[in-house]
Amino acid sequence: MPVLSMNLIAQAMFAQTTSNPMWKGLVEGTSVGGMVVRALAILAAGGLGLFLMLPRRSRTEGGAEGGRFVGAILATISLVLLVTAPVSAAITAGHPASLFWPLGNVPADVIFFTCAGISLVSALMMITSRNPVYSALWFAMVLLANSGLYFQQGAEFLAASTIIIYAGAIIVTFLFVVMLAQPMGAAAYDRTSREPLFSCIAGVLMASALLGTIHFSAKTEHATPGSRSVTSLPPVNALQTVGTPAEQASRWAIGNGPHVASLGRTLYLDHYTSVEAVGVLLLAAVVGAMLITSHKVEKPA
Amino acid sequence: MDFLTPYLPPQEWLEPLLKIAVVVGVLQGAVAYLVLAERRVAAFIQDRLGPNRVGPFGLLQPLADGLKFILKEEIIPAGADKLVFLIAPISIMATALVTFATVPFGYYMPFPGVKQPIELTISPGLDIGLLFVFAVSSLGVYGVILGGWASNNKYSFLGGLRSSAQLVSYEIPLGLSVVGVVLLTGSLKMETVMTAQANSGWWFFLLQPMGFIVFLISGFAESARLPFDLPEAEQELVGGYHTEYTGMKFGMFALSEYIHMITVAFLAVILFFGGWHLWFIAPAAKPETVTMFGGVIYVLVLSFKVLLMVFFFMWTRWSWPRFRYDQLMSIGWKVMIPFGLVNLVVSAACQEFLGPQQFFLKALIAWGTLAATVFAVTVLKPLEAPKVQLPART
Repeated sequence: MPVLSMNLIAQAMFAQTTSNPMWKGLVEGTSVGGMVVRALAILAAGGLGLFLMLPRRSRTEGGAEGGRFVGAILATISLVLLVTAPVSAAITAGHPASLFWPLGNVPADVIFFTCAGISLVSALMMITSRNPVYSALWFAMVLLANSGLYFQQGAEFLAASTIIIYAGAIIVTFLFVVMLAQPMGAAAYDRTSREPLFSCIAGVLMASALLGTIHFSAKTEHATPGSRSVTSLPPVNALQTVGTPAEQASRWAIGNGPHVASLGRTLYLDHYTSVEAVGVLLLAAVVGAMLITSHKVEKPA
Repeated sequence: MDFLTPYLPPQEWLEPLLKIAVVVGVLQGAVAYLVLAERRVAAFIQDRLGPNRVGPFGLLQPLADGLKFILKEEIIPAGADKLVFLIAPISIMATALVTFATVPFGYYMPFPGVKQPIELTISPGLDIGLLFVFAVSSLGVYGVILGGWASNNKYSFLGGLRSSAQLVSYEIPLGLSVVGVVLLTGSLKMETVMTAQANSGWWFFLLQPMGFIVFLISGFAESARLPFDLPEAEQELVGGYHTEYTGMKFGMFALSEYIHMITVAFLAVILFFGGWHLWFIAPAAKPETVTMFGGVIYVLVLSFKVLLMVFFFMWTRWSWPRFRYDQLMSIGWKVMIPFGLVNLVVSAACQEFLGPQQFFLKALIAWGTLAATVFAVTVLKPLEAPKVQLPART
């Protein structure tokens, strides 16, 4: 589960990379080595804090809570540094749009940083809280903040379907199971994390790899604009070449115009086979679930 | 107005803030008076007088109720999870109110000094309006399940589990039932849906009778109104998930229940009864040609239709007995979802093979399908479980 929270950090960074031109500008303004070292240090500190915060067996049986407090402080510092990384980098790169807020677009940035901050803090609380019900609730908060980020990026359909499917159905099912399975309170082995050390190390490594990939790909994309964008790819489908260029553009633009219609068109023309395959998979899953749950009534002899 | 302009925030900030203030304020006031209306309607149906002592015709009764809610002692039961206990009513109330962000409450309204006529929706640009409503209202389950769990009371807990199962189950037919309308208009925006009905004059309950029936029944279940008010179930569960709540916290649960009812009524009117459209009084018009008086007329027509729908909800409440829990579940899963699927297939086929103007043929096919499905369900009875004879105990 630490992987999930680190994933969110990278996601936050990624969202900022694609949306904000300022961030692109500062990517080339800073020296690569300095940024990498700083990002690694921040991530390592966060991983250490996470490790100290994770509930372990010794503490559930009456150990000291001091480590948890230190871990919380470390994780908070790391989070603050991570979230404000674009701001501080913008100042170093000499892009101060204003003295108070160097990034420029104030309302969009307020929404972005609020959502990203809530998402990261909730992810941290989700994996460190001892009560499974609280964990599920923090998970719901993570998803809500994430769909806020999606809304800000213009992916309305993704945002709505995240809320409907994850927050509205799956976590409610989690809550059901948690509440019904252990009405007397969770057992000790459910209140501790299994491999806190290894999962923290793995999480930090994965997050570093993700951040590095995103950082360097953003750099190359900035160096040669349009090299990685969808429009420059060769057409994979004959339908992509039908009509005037304006018509083609409106047909394939997901972020503009009737957003859902374009999305549906892309799904059912470009990715038709995948949609069918997923449909068959879901059908098989439903049939399997019904087979498992149905009770066989024995026929009278 | 002009002398104020330099002191006001820019229009793109002022406009949504004003709309939010109007919608939230009107909703709260409307809910207070709907409670009174409900009690008067109940009294009328049961041949009583109802509350008529506070003010003329009992019109000040909502004020007295509100005062009572605020002045009641706030009790948090021993052993309750305090934080979650407090969060539950807030979350259910917040989700109920946020739902209205994409629900239009009129057509267009021109204002002096504003260049373009203002669209009467809080967030008019959102392309996924209908999905947004379903997404946010699906979060209302949290208030129910958490309120039941945090109360440290087994009746509340059972009530919470039961009602969240009900709410989650009926979200599926509710979503399925509106797909036909979305297919007809090709858009998830409610403004587009209303304009399409106004332009053709064919309200969608004529073209989508099955969709409408499934929507209405699932809407009753989603807003937990009789005959689907199992979340409360006074006789079995004392009061369901909000047994332990007192004062304003209980008031928030009650308020959000009424807001859910208003939302369902709004959606029913917008999707199936033409929204702001009424022949001769509020005809289809281009946004630029709407006058200020006309804009008010559109709002009034929409509100009148919504009030009729709400009255229908109250009327039903005092005319039908409550379903048993297993009946509720089998209606949801074995009747409503198949009905919704049949409707989806037939509407998709109609949309594919018939032209956009062949409304009469589409209506004919839709009503024929409804008759055939009802016949199949009631006469052929494919849904009844086969009777199994259990082996005798020896």
